[in-house]
Amino acid sequence: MTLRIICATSHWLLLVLGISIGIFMFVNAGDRNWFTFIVAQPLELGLSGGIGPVLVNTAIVVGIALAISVMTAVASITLILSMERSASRIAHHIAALTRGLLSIGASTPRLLVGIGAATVFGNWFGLGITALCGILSLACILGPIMANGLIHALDQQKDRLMPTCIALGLSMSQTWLRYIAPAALPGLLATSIQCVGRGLGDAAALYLTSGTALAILGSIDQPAATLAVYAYSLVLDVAGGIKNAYAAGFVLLILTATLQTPLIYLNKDTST
Amino acid sequence: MNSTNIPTIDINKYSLHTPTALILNSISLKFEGHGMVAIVGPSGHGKSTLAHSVARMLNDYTKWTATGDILMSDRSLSQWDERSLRSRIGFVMQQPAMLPHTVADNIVTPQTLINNTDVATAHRCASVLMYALGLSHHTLATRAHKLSGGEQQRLAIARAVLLSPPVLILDEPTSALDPLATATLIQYLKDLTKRSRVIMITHDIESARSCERVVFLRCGESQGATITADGSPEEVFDDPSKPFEFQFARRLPMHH
Repeated sequence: MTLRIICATSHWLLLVLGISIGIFMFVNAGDRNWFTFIVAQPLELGLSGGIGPVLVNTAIVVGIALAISVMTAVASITLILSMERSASRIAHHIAALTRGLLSIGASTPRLLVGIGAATVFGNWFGLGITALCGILSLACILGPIMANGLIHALDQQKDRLMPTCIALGLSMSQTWLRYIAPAALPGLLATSIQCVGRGLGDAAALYLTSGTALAILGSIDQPAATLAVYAYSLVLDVAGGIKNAYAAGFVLLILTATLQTPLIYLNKDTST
Repeated sequence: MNSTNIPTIDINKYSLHTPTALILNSISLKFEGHGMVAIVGPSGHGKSTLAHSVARMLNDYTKWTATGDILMSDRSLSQWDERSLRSRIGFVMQQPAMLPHTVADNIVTPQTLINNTDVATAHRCASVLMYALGLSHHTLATRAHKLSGGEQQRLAIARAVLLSPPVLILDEPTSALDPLATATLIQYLKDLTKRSRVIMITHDIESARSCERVVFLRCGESQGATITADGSPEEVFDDPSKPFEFQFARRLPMHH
């Protein structure tokens, strides 16, 4: 009961905090036409104008990074599950090691991943500060988070349903495709939404790898700022940029909140 | 199904170890033809482990080391392919998972997938069996996880029975049932034993007394569970020369 009260209180506190930050940013963003701000080109290094190209860049960078993350996550999960089904002890150790590495990867600070990615992809592979380098660094952040979330969702359902399905005589493909994967779907969706949210909000890694160019992305070998990087660089690099940074932050907050709302319903659905 | 179609289960000096403990110690048992046998014993004394072994359902096989053998129709269980084994041995766990669908789907879908039964026939069989087990057919459209523990247990039994395995292993099938539901289930299982072999793990002495054979399993002074009594319910429970079993059947306090 006490734990419930603490959980409910913390949820409400977070909600109040989020709304307060939103109101603060909205008020400090000043009077503006929000539609124009969202679709217009940035002017004077982002001091005026809008964030249209930045939003497009954000969608491209986060979208491709997410696609790569999904592929690497699925590959990791396939490796882990096939190793765990094997009778070999070495295979079980490899699976345990992969799980451990994914957990470490998911909890590594983003700035550290950014520095690493800038060194490896930017310098060693010669990609420099480009959208591609940003995409790869973001994939390095999101991949382990995605894999961890997916494997957690699948593990939960696998542990619950697999013995029953085996006892009934269902084949592995029937068990996975008909029962475990659909039952894990809310968890998979929740992880994907969380990853999009994290991708949208990441500034630390992308600032170092994808750059701060405000023009719309022509190809992935050009630098491109995402929304979070745009707001971050306005605060850090451009004198008087704080108003537009608040406005961009407000848009980012609304985007993230909109994306996260389905999570409440997904969590409710899985908890029953 | 006549007795000749029911595979013989022959447990031959079967022992099971974990890296740190001996769980089952040289168990030898044979189940031939139809009938109902109860495996009884105190909690934590290896009954479920034995049931899981016979159903080849022990998970995480890197953890277990087995010696001796379990044979089905004179072939080691390990030599049976999964499909053939599952079509012969049905297994209902103590806490069976409900498939994430409706009650009807839980019963009908496995039949259509495994036995290629058409959906209408599967639905008809499901309704008849649910009635026999005391489950209302109104629950068919309910999400299975919303049923009570006892209803879920009976649903799991119905799901397994409808696949018509000649050997059915039930791990604590009455643990969540009220006395009336228990009596209904036992009566149904008795009818079922005319055409199949039912192996029931149970703590419920009344249920065990309705079986024609009772096997008592417990950890003795040496490590690992062994069979301490095997015979009719009267021979196992009512023999004062077997004080542990005698007291166990009468729920009298005892020292292990």
